[in-house]
Amino acid sequence: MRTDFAFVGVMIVSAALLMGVTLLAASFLRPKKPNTAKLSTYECGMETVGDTWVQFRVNYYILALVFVLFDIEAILLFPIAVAFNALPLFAVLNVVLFILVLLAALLYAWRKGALDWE
Amino acid sequence: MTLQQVIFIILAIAVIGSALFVVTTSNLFRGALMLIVAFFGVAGFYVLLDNGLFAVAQVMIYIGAISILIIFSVMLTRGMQAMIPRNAQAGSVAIAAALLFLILLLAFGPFRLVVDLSGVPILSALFRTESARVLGGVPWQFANREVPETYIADFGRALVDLNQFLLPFLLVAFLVDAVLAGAIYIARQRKPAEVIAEREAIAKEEAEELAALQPQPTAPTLPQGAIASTADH
Amino acid sequence: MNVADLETVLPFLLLATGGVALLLVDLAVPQARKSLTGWLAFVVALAAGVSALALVSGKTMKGFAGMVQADAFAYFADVLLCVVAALVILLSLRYHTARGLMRGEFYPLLLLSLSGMSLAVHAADLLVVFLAIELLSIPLYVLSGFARPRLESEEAALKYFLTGAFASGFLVYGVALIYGASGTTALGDLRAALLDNPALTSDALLMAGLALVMVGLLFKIAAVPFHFWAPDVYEGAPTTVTAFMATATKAAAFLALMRVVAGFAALSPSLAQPFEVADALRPMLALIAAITMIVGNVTALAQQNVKRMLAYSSIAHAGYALAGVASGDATAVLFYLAAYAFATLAAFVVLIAVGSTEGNEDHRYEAYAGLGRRAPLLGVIMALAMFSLIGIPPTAGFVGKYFLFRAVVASDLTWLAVIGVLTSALSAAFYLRVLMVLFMREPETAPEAEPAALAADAPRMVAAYVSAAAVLLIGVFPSAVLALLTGGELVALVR
Repeated sequence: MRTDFAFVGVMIVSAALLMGVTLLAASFLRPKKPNTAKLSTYECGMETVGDTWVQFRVNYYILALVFVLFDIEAILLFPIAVAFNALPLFAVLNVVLFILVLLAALLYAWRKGALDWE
Repeated sequence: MTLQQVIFIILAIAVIGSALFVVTTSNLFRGALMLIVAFFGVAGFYVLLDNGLFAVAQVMIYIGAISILIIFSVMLTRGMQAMIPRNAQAGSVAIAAALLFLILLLAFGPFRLVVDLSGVPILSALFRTESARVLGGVPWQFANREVPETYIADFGRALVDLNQFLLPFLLVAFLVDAVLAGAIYIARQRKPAEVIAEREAIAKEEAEELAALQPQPTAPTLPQGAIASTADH
Repeated sequence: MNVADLETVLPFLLLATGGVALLLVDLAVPQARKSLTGWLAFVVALAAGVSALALVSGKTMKGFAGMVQADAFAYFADVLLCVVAALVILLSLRYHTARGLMRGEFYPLLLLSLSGMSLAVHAADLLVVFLAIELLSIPLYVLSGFARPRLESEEAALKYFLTGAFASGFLVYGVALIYGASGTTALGDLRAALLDNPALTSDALLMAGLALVMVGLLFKIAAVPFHFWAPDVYEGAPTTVTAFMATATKAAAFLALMRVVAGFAALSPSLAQPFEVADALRPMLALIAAITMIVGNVTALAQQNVKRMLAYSSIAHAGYALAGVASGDATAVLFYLAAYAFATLAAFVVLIAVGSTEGNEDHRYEAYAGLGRRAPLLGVIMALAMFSLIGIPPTAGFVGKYFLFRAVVASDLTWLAVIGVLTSALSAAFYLRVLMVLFMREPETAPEAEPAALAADAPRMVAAYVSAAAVLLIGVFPSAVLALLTGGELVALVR
């Protein structure tokens, strides 16, 4: 089991190395002649006007919240799906009940306009 | 030192370091990003504990969803950059946390420390027996227990098994309903007409409350007889 | 699914499914007719109450693999919670219209919170205790902010949520430590494990877990020093929600607390029926009870606002009930909680009547000047409530305090009973002050509301009569309540 995740570890380490080594090598090799235009945030584009930290719409938050809740549902259903072949009918009915109750929440969110984007 | 211990120490340093950054930084947004690093380290702990499912759940829920939620709520906050949260109690809390950590380490850590508690009023009642004079060396019930290959399927079966965790499983669905309905009630944007009507109602109430709070501007009271006499003339 | 399993949590199932269904039904109810949702919620709450009443028996049943327990205590608490919730719904109909709060979400959220309470009183497993406490808390966080965007209500919600989430963290961490130390979360198994393995009774890990769980639960009942949230939340929340929180939440959290304490009973070398408090826990509980009684009553004395005074009064009464927990007499505690709940509800009827008639939430003492003479009925109800809260016969409060202090004395905690009696005497000062203002003081300004308007609302009057009658009847016929409570025999909180 741990060896399965060792690959994930190797992946993370090699990704970090790949990026780190490339950037480090580039910083050694590239010529360094900075000027104001080059150092501006958008070298070719509009200068921003005012503060870039604007207040976001609350809809983002509600969508993220709906996502969290159904993420939790997914992670709870995942192990059940793994065991699905060996489950008795009673257990399957309970899973259906679980999903139905959550469906009520989704229906509520939908009808209340929480998913609207206008 | 085994490889596992090395990895554990690296992860622990990453988690503690990023967590410290989260609580000490004055920039909420950077704090939220560093929180992801801490969450990731915790996912690593789950892997070391041989529970890949929880590691995946940690990445999916905490990094994939909750961090996003936190970042959104930071970005919802108006004037976030101008706000420099400061905590006057940071120093004393840090000392208290360090002390608590030391106590936990002594109480639950691998060391066996002999302390005579028989003279201490409350603690002696709590730790009555002879063995209790030894702090630490906690007999963890599940230490070094093998995790079976089929643990994910076992977990799945347990969730829908009447003899195991069916009730908590179904309870989670109702909990999620309550959370969603509540959060939508609190956070949903209302239509402009609704908002205006509400604001007006509240403004009216507040004006009334203010009027009730302020002493009534009473006219200088004349003696009862004086009014009566002027009316007579 | 086994029918017996369902039976053990029938009130919970009715309330939870009713709550979710009502959430959807409410979508189809037009804004102008939201009281329909209220009436439906009323029916669901009553149905759950009746089902609990029908199921009361002397038997103790376990369900869902021992995760829940159905006994006379649990069903009694179910009935109490459902009746309180039904009365709160009756009170809210007019109040919410007057305050511009007639929004449909109130009733489903109330039912979901109530379902969490109903499960909390049935919980026989720390896992279920935690989930039930969450299910009862989360809708309450929202309900205390229900009057949004009013600032005081939003403040109440935020304060309650932040401190409540912190307390939940303590609770779940404690459960984890207990599981780590004992290998089980079932309270019955825990008790058996502690009996089998005496070494476990002094395990530092288990003790730390127990302490953390206690912090989480003591927060919910607002015991000192975990009470700081209560006055602000009670004051800022809509008065109907405050009434619900002060009565139902407290009763549910107390029964859950007693079950946890009973699960650790084997920490004590001396086992007595029906519910034992470990020797290690008893001094702690007694100490917290004493501090809570003193702090709650003394601070209530200094309040200038009736609603805030009632918040401190609820803290003080948590102290009395906690003294009962320390004595190990669950019957006395539940009886006391029932007496307290109806008296407090009766007091809130008056607050809600004022809030929904005069259109503003002015609960300073001065605002109540002369109310008792303008609306004699409200005055009499308030007088009953205050007498019961002080503990003057023939009200329920007197019998409740009598049973409670008798149990406390019987368990060798005479000093605690003395503190209880002294603080009760002290509490008369601020409870009677309300009555003095109500009946003896002239209003500073001409009252806006007509006396007739204060008594106009029929559902509110029904709630007023029911709570006032309960205060009197429990006081006069306590044996009827006791019979319901014990189901004719001694009940073990955890087995």
